[in-house]
Amino acid sequence: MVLEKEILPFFQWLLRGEGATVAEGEGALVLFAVVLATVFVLSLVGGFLVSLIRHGPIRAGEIAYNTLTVGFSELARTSPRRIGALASVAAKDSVRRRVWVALILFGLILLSAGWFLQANNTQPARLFLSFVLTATSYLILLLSLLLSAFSLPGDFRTKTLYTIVTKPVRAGDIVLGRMLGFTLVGTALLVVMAVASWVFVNGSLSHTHKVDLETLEALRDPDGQSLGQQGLSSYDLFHKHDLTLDPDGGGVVEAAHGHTHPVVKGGDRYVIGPAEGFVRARVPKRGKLRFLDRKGVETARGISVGSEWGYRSYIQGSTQAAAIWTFDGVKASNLVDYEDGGGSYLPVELIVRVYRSYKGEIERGIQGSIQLRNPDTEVKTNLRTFYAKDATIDSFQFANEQTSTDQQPITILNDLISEDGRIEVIVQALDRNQYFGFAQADCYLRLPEGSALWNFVKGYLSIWMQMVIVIAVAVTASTFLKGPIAMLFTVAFLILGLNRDFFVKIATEQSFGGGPIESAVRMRLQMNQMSPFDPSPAVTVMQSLDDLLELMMLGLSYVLPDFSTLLGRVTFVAEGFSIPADALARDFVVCVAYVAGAAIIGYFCLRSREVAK
Amino acid sequence: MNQRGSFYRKVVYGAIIAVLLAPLSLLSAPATLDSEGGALAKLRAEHRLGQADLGEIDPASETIKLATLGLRGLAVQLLWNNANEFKKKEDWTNLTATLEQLAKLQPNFITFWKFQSWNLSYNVSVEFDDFTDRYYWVRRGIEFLQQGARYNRDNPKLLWELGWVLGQKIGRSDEKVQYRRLFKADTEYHPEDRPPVQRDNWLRSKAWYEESVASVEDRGQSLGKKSPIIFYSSPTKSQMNYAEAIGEDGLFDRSVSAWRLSEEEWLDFGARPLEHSTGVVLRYNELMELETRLEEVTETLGSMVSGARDRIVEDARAALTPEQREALDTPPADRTEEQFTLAYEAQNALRVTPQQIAERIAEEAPEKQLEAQRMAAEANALKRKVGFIKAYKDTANYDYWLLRSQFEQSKAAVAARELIFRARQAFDQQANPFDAKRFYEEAFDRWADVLEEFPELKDPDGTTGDDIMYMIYDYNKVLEQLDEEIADDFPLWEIIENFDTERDFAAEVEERRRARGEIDPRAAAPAETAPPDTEPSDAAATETMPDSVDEASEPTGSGGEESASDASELAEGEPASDPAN
Repeated sequence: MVLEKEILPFFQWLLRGEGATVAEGEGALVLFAVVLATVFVLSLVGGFLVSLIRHGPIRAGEIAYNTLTVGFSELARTSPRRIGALASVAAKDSVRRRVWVALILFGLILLSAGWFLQANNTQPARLFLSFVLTATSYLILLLSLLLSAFSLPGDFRTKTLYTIVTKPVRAGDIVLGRMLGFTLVGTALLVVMAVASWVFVNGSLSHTHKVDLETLEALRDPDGQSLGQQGLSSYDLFHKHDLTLDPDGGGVVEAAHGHTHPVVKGGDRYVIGPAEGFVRARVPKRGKLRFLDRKGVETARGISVGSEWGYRSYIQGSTQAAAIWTFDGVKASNLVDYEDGGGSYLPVELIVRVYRSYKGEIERGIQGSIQLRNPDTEVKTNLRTFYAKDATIDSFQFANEQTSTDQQPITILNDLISEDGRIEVIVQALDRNQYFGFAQADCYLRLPEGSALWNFVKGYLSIWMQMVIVIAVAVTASTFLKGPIAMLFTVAFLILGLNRDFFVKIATEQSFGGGPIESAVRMRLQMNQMSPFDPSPAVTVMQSLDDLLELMMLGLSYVLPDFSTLLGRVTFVAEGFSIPADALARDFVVCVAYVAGAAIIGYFCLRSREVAK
Repeated sequence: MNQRGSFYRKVVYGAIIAVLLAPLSLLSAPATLDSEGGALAKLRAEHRLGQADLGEIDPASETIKLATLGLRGLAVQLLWNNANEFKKKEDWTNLTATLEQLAKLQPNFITFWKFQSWNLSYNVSVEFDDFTDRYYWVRRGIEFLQQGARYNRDNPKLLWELGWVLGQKIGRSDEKVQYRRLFKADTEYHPEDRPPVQRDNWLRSKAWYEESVASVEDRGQSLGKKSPIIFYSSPTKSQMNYAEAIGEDGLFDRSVSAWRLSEEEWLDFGARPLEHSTGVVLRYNELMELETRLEEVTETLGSMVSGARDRIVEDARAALTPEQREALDTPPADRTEEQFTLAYEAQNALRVTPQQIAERIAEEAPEKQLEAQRMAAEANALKRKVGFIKAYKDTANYDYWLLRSQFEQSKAAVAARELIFRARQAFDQQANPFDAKRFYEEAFDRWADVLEEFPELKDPDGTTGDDIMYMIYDYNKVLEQLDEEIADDFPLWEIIENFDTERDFAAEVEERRRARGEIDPRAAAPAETAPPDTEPSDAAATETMPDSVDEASEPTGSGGEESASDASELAEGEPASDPAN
């Protein structure tokens, strides 16, 4: 699968990020602390200034002091019981507001999905999974937005909040209670949607085939002994399979459209069973990729073949160019036993993207080689050649017993894994002037497969976390804004979060066409993005304003949640890869941070309103 | 009072509504089996804008369009953007899903179908390395286009596009051998009742082209901006390509009957009225008739007053300057550059137009003025039309293809093709160079017969010479393996001299020309500069080499022939084969 951003190990992400040490300040924790401190100082200064204007310096100091001390002591005394009670009120209120209509809508979406989702695709599971997960995400985000943005303002408007604040509850309880209540309702809906999606995907893809008797041909060995038969299955769900039938009743159905089937002999007939392997959860152990150029000199990237998408870079065939992955922490347990019990092997999976500079032999793939190497001793296995299966996952089983390049018997465990547990995989292209393209995620050691159902649940967990963030933000916004405005605020937050990368690019002047004002001017004047402006005072003013706006955007980007990454987690499920625990843990921490931050801001905002004091 | 006021107001509203219903009904009553409906329904029927007139009605499409709540434009914009992004990031599964969604949202937007099916057949397919995957995507593009053709019944552009992709993409790409094989065996594409003979991409292409022509001819659709020559010649071109392709597959008997049909259809095409961009309607096969008539008219005009034409020439000659006259009298080879221009001017001045003759007649015999004017006008019109027909003929390469479909039916040509086929089999599959050599030599004797019977084939504008030349290259490879060279009495040296674009025989050709005294023996003979064997990746460089060698070895310049034959290939609209392959 395509992995454009590397997923850092959880603690590295939390503590030091891309930097070498914590002190470099790229760790998530450091950034969170900085953002928190900034927001705290800005709010304090802002609040003080407002009070200063309204009440004079002495009273302002007193108000600021009281807000801080009372606020924090109240926050510390937040009661789970009260929050629970308020949450149940919020949940009941939501049910009264007919949230279950969303389920009907979801049902309608699933029913009409057949209009534009067809299994006439080489990867039907991927399509169906990404459809249900994306549809659920958007629907649940919209629903939680509507629920939470209008709830508090509605209570203000109908004055029902007064009946609550007369009870011994604190503003913090109200904010957290709402968040929790809506989260509970959203979670219940999400669970129903998840079950429906699972049934929908499996139901839509479920099929079986018959053996197409007309295509069967007998297989015989040179002595004329029967080896069984080979032929094709019937054509169902837009595909058919090649199959081989053993004389003893078993058989193999070749994979097609991302799945296979079992074959059993029922009486005197062969029966093809239900589809297997549509929904998977491969667990890869990923390594670090580096390249050698055509002269064998190490480079960070291979060469470009002119593709607009710079994800992969390429190595030239029949030169010293190579792609080398280094895997850390490889242990004996990473080797898998052969099914027939004859020793163990290291499972390596590889995706090769082929680029031909001339057509060559059309019916033959481009040849490549793959080797294992010990990074310390540089002992290498003999060249193992293969024909590249372009853009599909190719599996290699490296038996523990190997022969080195100087024809000595070696084993992976003793000779190829270095003392600190590292091993290298070297891939080269062999055909002259033909190219192989790789990205870091294209080669991995396959670990035992995870549970597809659990992976599906993890996909829904990441949707759940997005929902929680939206609820937190919307509830907080609704403490100081009117319903529709709170909704617009959250929608803006959501849209910016979904396009956070682009937003940051504009803020850091990496995108073409300048900042917001400059872009607007270019659009108005129908100027292209590259041509410079003639210097003039107006242009200087425009650019200075843009600089200011960009600074503000950059500041804002620190509090924007990266929804596109969260939404991207469902790609793992769709592609049949397990969502890494590191990613899930990180998303969870981010979610908790947003809820905590939003709750504190929401508390102070609600507290500052006349009614909740 | 207040209550009564409200009651009256309601009555008035009701009355207004009732009155307004009448014009509303007149305007927008739907058509039924018995009535034509209101004005809008009539307009819709008249301009064939009703969904049922456009093509298949898809309830799913209508529902999705409605479900966008008026934001269809925005949704389409987003989806197009997504489609581009998916294509960039090689996410083919989501690309096709997005295209399906777009197809539901804008099913009657013709450019969408053309653009995106092209994307699938041409751009997505080449991203795959395995030729079966590539074929899969070519077919998906074709199926997508067929889906579009269902939504937009009788749309000549989509139908024509189907003919094009089925023919050119499957039958002309580098993988044509594989694609044609896969297409024949593609049970998912062909309906079960289609006989195996009909499962040929060129025949399917022809069928769609014919549908396209029928939609214009029989069902009154507009041809739009498409050139009528290309449009109407396409079915027959596919028939010819079919004949050629099955010949290459070794099915010679069927190939002959396919060529016979090609000839008949090509003659029919010649008789079809085509509208020139100036509005003149012309037919290819009236050219000879028009030329004869033009000759007659010019002759009659010239003989109306005897000697009128000669007198015009005399006057014109008298008006020439002495320099012009001198330039005209100098033999062309001895003219200086200045004289060349002067002679050209003089020749122009001496050219007599029918109009000039008519004017002279008017001066010398005024009673014949009217008749002369009429004939001059006719001559001019004829001349113009003849010019148009010739230009249009060039566009379709009409004469060549007529000749081609005729000679391919000749016994000698069939025998020649069959022998070449056997020679290639003997060499490539049986590794038997002796048999291969024998077959080739017999084949070239037959080709010599063909060229004798149809000498126009030696015309460097045609492609047959090139075809034969490639056979000679193959023959040469066989000879090289046997350590032999092409004999001096080889019957097709003339072809080698005219068509050896690879310059494999440059030295021999020069030797022969020198022996015939066509080249000054003192001229440099850089035969060694013939291009060495180069790697495929350097093919682009080799391509340009023949010209440069040509210029070096033949300063008098006869290299124009090669470029002319290239040009004729281009005029056919068929891409040159990949030099790297």
